[in-house]
Amino acid sequence: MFNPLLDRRHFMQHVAAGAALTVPTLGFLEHLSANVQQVKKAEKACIMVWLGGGAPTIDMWDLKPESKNGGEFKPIATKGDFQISDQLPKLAGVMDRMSVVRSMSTREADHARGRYYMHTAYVPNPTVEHPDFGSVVSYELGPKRSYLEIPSFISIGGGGGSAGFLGMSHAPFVVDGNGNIRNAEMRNMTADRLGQRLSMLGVIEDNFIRSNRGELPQAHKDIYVQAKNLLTSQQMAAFKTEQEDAKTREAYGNNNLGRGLLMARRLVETGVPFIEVNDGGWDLHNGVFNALKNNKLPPLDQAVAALMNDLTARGMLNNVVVLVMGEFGRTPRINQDVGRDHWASSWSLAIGGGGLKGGRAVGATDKDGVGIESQSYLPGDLWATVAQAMGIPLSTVHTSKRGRPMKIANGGTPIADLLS
Amino acid sequence: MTSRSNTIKPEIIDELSALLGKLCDQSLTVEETRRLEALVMSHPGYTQYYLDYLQVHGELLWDEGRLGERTQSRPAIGRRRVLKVVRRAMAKPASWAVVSLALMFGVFVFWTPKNESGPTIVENVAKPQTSAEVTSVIEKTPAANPKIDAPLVVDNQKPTVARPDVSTPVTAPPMRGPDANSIVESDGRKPLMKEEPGLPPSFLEPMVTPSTQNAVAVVDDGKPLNDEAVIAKINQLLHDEWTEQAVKPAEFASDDVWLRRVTMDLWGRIPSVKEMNGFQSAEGDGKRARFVKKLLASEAYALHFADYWTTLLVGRRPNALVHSNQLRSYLANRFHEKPYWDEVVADLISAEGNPAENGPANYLVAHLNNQAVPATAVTARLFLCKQMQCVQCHNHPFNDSRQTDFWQLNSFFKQTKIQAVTGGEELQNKMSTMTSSPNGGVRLVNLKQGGPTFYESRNDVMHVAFPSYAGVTIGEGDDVNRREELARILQNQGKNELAAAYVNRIWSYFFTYGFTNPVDDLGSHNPAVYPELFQFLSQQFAASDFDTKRLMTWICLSDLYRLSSETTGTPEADLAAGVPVFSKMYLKPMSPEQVYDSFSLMSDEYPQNRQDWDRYLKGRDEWIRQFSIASQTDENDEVNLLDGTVPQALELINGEMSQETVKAIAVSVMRDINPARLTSEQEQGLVRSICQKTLSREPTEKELTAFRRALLATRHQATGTAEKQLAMYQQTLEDIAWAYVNSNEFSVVR
Repeated sequence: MFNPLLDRRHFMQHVAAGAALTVPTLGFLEHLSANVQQVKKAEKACIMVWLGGGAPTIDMWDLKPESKNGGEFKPIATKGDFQISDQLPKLAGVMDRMSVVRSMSTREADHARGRYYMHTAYVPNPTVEHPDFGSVVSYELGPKRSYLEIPSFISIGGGGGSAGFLGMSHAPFVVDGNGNIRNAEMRNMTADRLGQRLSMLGVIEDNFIRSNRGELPQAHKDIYVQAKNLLTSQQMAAFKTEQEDAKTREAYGNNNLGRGLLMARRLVETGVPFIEVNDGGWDLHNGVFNALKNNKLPPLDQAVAALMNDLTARGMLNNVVVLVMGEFGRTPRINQDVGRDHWASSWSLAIGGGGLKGGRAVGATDKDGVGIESQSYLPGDLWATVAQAMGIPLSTVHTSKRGRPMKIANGGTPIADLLS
Repeated sequence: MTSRSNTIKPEIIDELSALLGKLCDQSLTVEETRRLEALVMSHPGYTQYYLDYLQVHGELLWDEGRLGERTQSRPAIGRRRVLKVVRRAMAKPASWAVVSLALMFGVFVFWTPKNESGPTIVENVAKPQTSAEVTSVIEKTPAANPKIDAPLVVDNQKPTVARPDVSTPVTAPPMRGPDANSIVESDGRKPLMKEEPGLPPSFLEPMVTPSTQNAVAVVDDGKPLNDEAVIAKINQLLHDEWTEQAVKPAEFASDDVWLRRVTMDLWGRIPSVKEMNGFQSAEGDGKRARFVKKLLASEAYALHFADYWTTLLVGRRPNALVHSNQLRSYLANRFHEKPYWDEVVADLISAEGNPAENGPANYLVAHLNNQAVPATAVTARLFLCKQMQCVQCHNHPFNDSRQTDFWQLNSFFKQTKIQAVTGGEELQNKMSTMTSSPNGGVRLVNLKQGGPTFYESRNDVMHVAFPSYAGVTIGEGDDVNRREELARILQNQGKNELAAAYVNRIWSYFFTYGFTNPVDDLGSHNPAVYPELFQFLSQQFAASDFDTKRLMTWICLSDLYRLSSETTGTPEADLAAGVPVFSKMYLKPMSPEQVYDSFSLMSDEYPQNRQDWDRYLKGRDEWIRQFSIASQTDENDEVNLLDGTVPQALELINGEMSQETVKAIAVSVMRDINPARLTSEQEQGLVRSICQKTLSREPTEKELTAFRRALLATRHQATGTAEKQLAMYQQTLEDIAWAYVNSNEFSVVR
């Protein structure tokens, strides 16, 4: 399947071992291009649409038309057995394949803390840096996909995030909404010369790694292996949505979110197991209804519906979990600026694909959307659900750098109503 | 933690409400008290509900006038207020149930295992207070409050503190002892282990609490010492802690490592070969002190820390309204000439006018959106190392920050607006969507407008907050300049918090970790490591009139700063359960500015004169901004991709700056060399020059062998004209330079 001498993870070690600089050409370009065809559509993956800033889910997935908190939008019927906002007509048509969880209760209503909690399933703790769930997936599934030359956790359109104690090589690889990656194309540089340089680098690096100064020196070396792969891999074509036909591009929408989701689908086809697509600007403290109606909801409606239909048409839906959420919801109460503020104690998210049940509204809030009238769910429960869908055992335990065992998804319980 | 336990049940809330109603009516039976306790302790949500309920109850009592005479300016009501209210009611025997229950829960809720200083509530109660004290309103004239007295006297004038001579800030503070040059260094390979008596118990008191009583206590002991005495004390405290914890500190780093470290830390770039040679040839005990003094006296130092603070204050992303170059230039002037941190903070907080002209005005212009919520949170985080954004919506579960505290601080920014210079339109609600500044620019103004800030608690009750901080509430009239008042409070009653916050942040800048981690989360819930040292440094910094250069002198000449980054034990021993032990120097990644400045130095493009800086910084800003991504939240966060991950590696492997720099290095070492007639020593010299230029050290034997072999091979393989052969030889030198600047060793401050 691949030449073990040239396995990307061992490339640098080999280079370093041959410290005498007599490895001018390793022929890795040829090797890499040979594998491009080994694309695995059947691999498990997760695409997370991140609504940065915290979306007003009470106006999207869990409307309260009878309440003073109801706002301007009306519920409409969907193909599932529940209603969503009239501003999301295209999504209404795919709700047979998606479900809405209406009883998330996550307590962190600060952007940074909420982002951390929703991404890692752990509340921030000064002594441990927890990995984003995307990094967990990268750690668990990345090494099993030896054909994969690009990072196994890709974040489109910013966002940041961290691999925490799993190490920098599982950090999200961030590309902009157009898939541009600076310096990823070799300039005035032959593969031979890059090989010569890398072998020289090996001479210097290993000495520093051995000098017992903590983890940074080795992490640096791992990152360079990844960077070298990006410079030489044909799989970089996955970032180029312009290679799709006009009709497909139009279906997703000619905007960053649409392109991002289309890119995500291409990355899944290349074998990337976790892709986060960032859509910011949901921090709607004022003018929430105008912003939703005119700016935020139409592209979301179009792009996510297009993704669901595309995955269905390509026979990929059962392998790909699609998740739409942000760091928290927004206050049921409408504030003096016709906005909604941060609210973590009762909010909703949408999830589908990956063999999970569609068409269901899981959990419920009270008549004003303030309290939860059912079982409530934590981020760990959500990620346990995703882990199960992706075939990552819930018994998986990672060990922090200080030897502390950490259960996957913070020991959460999969959301039963999404599984059967 | 399972999802089930997280559920808040409506029927429990109903039961809680009934029990709390009885509590407030003082009709709670013993059984009901037990039931209430069990419920409140069973879930954080119920605890919060309990706190909110009591808060509202206290407020209602107050509003009904049942607690006695109203004062003219009413203090905001929060948990502490409720307790005071309750305490007052203790005269009536029936109130004891309320009091004891409230205190009992207070102890449970706010107790954390590591917090040995105990909850503030209990301390307050333990001190008998008269009813006059309980109800007295702290007005802005501190004389009205007997508790805020000497040594910090507040008046409405700028504090008149004797400042050292500005032209020679490091050498001439009034109370100084011997010159920094005479500071005695340990010259062996290992830190001196000294046996000295422990500290007086007063040092052990908790440093950072928001209460007024504690805020003034610290300076009593903090008599200003001269630099030599401060450094000796730092070393003693370090050695005491190492001994106590049975930690074996790393050996001292070599001269070249120390020099690269201190140049990188204070100037933000690697040292030049000339600087390296100058230091190595210097003689005598005081050479480190002399070098630090030289670094601190330079404009490069001031500009580097101006960079550091500009990034913290306004970020790296372009913002249509923010002129970060103006802010940077203001900070650089301050740090160079008048490096007193409290004054810088006062300038930033109270600035007015056009940010294109007045540097400090940029700070608030960047954060005034969304009712100044970001301005409040960022002010607390940056200047006080406090995380207050969470208490915006609810009381803090683990420390004694209250929602009221947030809004009281917020109230200081209530008069502040951003207006278009032309037309006077208010702009802050549009800030997040503005892609260009209006014609004529904007200005930061104070409206002549009084009144409190209104906010809601979680149970939908509207509250009111008056401008108040560190126990000082200022008047709410139209004629009060609230931000100037806040600056004054921070420089006086808030002085110790301000000092501790700066010390903690700067410590983490030099040593990777702060005394607390995260660095900007000080409080009783997050105990500090090396608490005596932290307190001592904070006291001395405050006593030095917040002289940032002196603080950095102490740090850079301490034994800890000389330790190698090579551990003598295991990595686990250096970071016990993630908590820094400070037994060695931890590696630090370079900042984007440090990367750029170091590359510029290697390619001889680092500016030599002040007049060249503007153009240089413009280029650098453009380079860095390519890697910044906004988080698009109301808190104006951003992400920088130059964080040691793949984008940075790609830039250094393949970017234009990197390619040009390695070329420049190759050209510079080739000067006056004829490769056709190279001796073996000369060829070694080429490798040595490249290594010194890039890593500030001699090449290892292994590097010399490998790279000379590559050069030799090039000479043998090179064909064609002499010019072409020369070009090929130069290419190999570029490859060697490339390898050095791309190495892990280059990428960190070690």
